[in-house]
Amino acid sequence: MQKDDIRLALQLMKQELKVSWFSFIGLFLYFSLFSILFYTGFSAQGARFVGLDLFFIMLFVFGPIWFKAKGLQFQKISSSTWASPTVVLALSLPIQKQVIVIKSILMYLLSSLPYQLYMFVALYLISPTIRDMMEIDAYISLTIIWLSFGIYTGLGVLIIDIGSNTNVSKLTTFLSILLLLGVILLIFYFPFFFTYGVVEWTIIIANKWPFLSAIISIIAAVVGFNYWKSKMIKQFKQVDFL
Amino acid sequence: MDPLLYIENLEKDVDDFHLGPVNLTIEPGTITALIGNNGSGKSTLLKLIMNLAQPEMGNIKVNNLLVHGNNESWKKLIAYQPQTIIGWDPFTGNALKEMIAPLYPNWDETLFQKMVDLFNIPLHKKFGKLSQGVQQKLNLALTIPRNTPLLILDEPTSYMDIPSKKILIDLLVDWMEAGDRSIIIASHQIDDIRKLSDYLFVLHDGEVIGHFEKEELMERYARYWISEPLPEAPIPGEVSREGNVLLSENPEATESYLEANNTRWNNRSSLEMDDVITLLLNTTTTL
Amino acid sequence: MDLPIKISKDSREPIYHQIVNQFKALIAGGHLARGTPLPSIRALSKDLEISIITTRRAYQDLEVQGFIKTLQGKGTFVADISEDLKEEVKVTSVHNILENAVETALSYDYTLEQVKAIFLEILQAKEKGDS
Repeated sequence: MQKDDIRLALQLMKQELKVSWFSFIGLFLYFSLFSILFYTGFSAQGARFVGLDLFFIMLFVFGPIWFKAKGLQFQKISSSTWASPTVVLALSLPIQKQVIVIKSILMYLLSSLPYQLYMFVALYLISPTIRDMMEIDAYISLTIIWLSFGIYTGLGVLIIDIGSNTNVSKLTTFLSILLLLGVILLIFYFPFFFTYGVVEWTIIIANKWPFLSAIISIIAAVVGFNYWKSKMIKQFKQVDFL
Repeated sequence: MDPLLYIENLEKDVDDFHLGPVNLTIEPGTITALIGNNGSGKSTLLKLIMNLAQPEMGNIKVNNLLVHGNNESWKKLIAYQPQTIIGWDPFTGNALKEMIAPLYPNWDETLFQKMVDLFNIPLHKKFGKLSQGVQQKLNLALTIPRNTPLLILDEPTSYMDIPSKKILIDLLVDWMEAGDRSIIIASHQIDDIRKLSDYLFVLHDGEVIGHFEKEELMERYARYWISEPLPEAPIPGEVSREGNVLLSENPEATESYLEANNTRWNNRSSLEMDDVITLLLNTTTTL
Repeated sequence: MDLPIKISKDSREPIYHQIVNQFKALIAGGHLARGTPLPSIRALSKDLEISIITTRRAYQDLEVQGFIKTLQGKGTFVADISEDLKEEVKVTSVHNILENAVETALSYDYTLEQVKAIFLEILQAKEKGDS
């Protein structure tokens, strides 16, 4: 990434941010609501987190893209093309594809990381259960694990912003739904197969190997970031913006 | 001089629609009208030029740079106004100008202000809240002042009122005075074609009908009022006849035949531009 | 600038030729004085609804024949032409117009004798009007 690219990306973001203040308030309320849900669930179950994994994961994977301003939201732009309108806007201007991608990613990070961080800080402050269960270093590690998870999975979802043509086969659609259903079932039945749920396992790992798990997560986030970034740039070649 | 735009053997499939092969060269200093029936592939062709879609075959070069290559610096040379603008809705005219103007080194602020005044465009309103005609005006005001060597307009005036259309024609004529600039304009407005274009590039259902110099095209057709009865068999160049009026797409051949047969005509007239276009786009029509 | 130039797309005379002849007549007749700026090629093309290819050809012809001159970066102006040339143009243009009139008459199946009669009639009317 070059300095000029980031500067231009920020310049483009400026106007998007101006029309996005409403969605930033929305994100704040949304994460506050989930913080309360997780806090209540955690306290009620006596330091267990069963049944809430799906919400937790969804919040990190899809959360940030739910709350975009109407005109910026991923949408149908023509009979067979779906994309983020801002991407299409930028494509007709002398803006390099990687700058468009960097702008999308920055916009994504800005609407995810601060709120996720806010949720973790809030949970630690309001929940004695969590404070009893984890030392501060383990909790920081847990935060890093999940923030990183948000980056390497969330950016994979962000690729839909670049665009796609809807001429996918019925088989592909069917298999995608099947896969999604499988993942949901897996997350749901995780505690039955592996004693603990996904979130609980990350707590256990963060408690046991706080430093190692944080490092691995950061590496995964960096690798994921670069992987999705180049994948998004390549995605432009797959799409007809007709 | 290298052509500004060079298109070679371009082909594109969209579902069961096929465009091409398209071969087209745009020289600096010229205005080319892109003509075609609805769904003839005009917008698709323009989007292919902007690298907004991937062709099945062929090459497009802008100033000798392949548009689908890794070097995207050619984008600074084209100002493109799409038929349906996407992504502008949440922004005001002021915000859009702040976003677009710095991207073009030759941005003409004076011309922008002039157009805003002429067209009476409110810059503080969100684009999505403007009427379609005003949207087109704002769109033009944010496209023409980019002062790029190539200006591509895809049906820019379809919703605009008649006075504004006239203003635009004058603005574009002025804009062309700079010399080496070129315009490609897809339009159904007969005035745009008559007053602005030097060349016509004609598409019909994805197929290229031809690339004509305007007068050359006009001279290809003539109508004759024949004073004597005509033979039953078709006459060379004949497109159609109605009573004693003969329409020819090859006046030279028709006239030499008539002269050889001592058939006299007491009037000969050229066709109107819209008649010529109708003939080009629908060969079965009689006029 | 509005110039009294009218081109006929129905005429068999090529368009660029019509433009050249009309400019010559305007200049020779003194309607366009020496040094008068002419419209740009693009602006004239728009007014006459023709391509710049045709307009440019007409301007080039006029320039070669010495009726106009182009100053780099300033535009095109009416040149200084000699009285002889002016005279020649006047004669040619009158000649052309009369010839066209005769052609038209012939296409309406008039005989040359009839054309001559019409011509004399017009001349006589003029003479009466003047006296």
